[in-house]
Amino acid sequence: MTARAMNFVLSLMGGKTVKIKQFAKSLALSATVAAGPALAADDEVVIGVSAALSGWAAGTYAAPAEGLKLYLDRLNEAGGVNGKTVSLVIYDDQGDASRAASNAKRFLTQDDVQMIISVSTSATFAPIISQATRRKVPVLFAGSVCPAETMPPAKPLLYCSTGFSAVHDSIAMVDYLRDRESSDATVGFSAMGIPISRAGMEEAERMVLKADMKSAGVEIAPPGTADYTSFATKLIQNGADSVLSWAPWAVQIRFVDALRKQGWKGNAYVGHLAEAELEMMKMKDPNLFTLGTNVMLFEDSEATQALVNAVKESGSNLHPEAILDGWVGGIVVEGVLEQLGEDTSAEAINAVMRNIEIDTKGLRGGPITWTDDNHFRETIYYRAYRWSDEKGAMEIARDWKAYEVE
Amino acid sequence: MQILANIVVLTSLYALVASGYVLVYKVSRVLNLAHGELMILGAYLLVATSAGIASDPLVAIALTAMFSIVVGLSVYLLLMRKMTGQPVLAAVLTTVALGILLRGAMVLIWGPQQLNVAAMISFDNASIALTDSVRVSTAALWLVVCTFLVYLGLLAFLHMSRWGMRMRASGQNALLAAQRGINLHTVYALAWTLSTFSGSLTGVLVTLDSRIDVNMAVIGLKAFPAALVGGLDSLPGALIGAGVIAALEVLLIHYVNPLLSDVVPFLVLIAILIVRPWGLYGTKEELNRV
Repeated sequence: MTARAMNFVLSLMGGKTVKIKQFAKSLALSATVAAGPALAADDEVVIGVSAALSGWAAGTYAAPAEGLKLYLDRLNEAGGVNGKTVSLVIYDDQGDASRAASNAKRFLTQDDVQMIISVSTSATFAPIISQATRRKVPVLFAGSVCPAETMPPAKPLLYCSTGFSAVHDSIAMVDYLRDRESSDATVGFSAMGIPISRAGMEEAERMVLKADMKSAGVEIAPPGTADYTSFATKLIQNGADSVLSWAPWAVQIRFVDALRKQGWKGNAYVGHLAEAELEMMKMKDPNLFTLGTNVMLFEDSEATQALVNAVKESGSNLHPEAILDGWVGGIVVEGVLEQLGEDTSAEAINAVMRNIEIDTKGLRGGPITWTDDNHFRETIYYRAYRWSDEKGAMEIARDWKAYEVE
Repeated sequence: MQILANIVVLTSLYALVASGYVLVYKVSRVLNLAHGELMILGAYLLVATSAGIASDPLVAIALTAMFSIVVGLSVYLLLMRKMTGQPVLAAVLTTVALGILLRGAMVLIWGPQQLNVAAMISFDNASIALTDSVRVSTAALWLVVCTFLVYLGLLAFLHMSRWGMRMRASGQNALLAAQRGINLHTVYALAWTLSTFSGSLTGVLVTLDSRIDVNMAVIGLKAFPAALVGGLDSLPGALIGAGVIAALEVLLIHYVNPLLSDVVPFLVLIAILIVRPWGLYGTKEELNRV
């Protein structure tokens, strides 16, 4: 097939012409890549990445994995940090525990990695944690939801830089909701039938009830639900004035859709996940609020410009916002390398990670600070965003608010 | 009343998907387990036509319909035709492999992200008030109307047209039909084409009502009990089966436990298979063939 014909075909992928070379790169990332070196040079840090590049969870995790790779590739092209470069070994786990276990084993027995990064579902955590802990190799969750083991009192070797967290997002969303809604409002909750989403929304319901507001119930939709209309109907019939949702973005937004299709006009509060900005710009719903720890690209800061330019230069057709958590993961790796001495062993890397403050370069509300006891962050910053009909654009609904992580 | 409306919409969704299963099985005795993926492919074809070829939404939808016919025909001519005369299990496994292949291809081409196709073609999926207490979306209303028209059309075609009679004859006794001069390959190709068309239509309507990503192919799996409960070779049965499954799902969500809505349809399926394996309106002799 000629290049011209190929570009015509590629233009059918959403109207953008993707360079053939980059298309081939995307194919390579999507396939299982086994590119780890047999022996790492002393000035090279080998990092294993287990990511959901395909399968049901790829919509959430493939983009951050790409972001991580983009950042570290650029770091290497610029000569690395203090003479040290990063060699990434990326394997697809499809969000599946058994594949993640197999990936972890390969990282530790064949690829000789000094760190593992997880960009995948919570189902993959246990096997990775188990294997890494046995070999004393640190694990960074960058783009995956933060496991409880990274929060105080943190377990050794486990760290998280991901922007979202069910419990902390729920705390921030309820706090913001209480500012906006009347004190006798009835709040409905929507979750997906996975432990982390259910836990987040059940905790949010408890907080709402504690604040003497009323609950319209927590609607839990099984994974793979085709139609959310009935779940939405139940909340509407229970008198929900506003709705809180924390689940994969696809579930959150389909639930909001289902509410709006039935003429419900209340305020909806959803977790800020990778696809939020692009989707909210299309929906143009002024009563839809998202709260999260990452900035949005419309803010057009120096940091976001760097990210947007990187994506443009790579020829990727991913939306820059979708890769942000992985990009921040790359910033974390860079921060660790900056403080790493001559010794690049897993033990040395872990020693650096145990007490570190990493500048997030304006992509978050503040630095990521890890201590012996807290491998999540000491303070977490949330911002609220919404679509503004008046401005015809996204806007900041509430600026950064800090919450101490206890 | 809103609950009833929800049941009707969900019934329409499952019935339209189930019609695809029934068409192929009724005529060729093959269970097309790639039907969910073919349904989603229809939605992605709409993405392709609206992004790359036609700026007018109606033209894009018409082109999508055309392409889906080509896809259905291609699937039969390039793949399923080779399975004619082979054991049924081999043909079914081929459809499983086809589904996996299609899913992987869709992710590679369009990515794993969810796409808002309604926004892409500027389709306003407004909420329509049917009564004071009942509202549905525009796309949902279209889904109900299209399901009615598709079923009416298919029943009329199968019972009143020459080719429809040939299709039914081939389904009842392929050997005898062939001996009577009916070209089985043409009949089977027609079945696959119509099935893929109805699947694509479902995919388009679902994506206009919600959004699309490859995981939506699970709708194909959820509609499967509807087809089996009603009878794999009966279109009216598929409609009734869809109604039973949809009603069960919606009522469980409202009055029992939402998490059961995923599980109970398959329990009903197992119960039917034990008590009446040919389904409510299927042909009893089908049991021997399966």
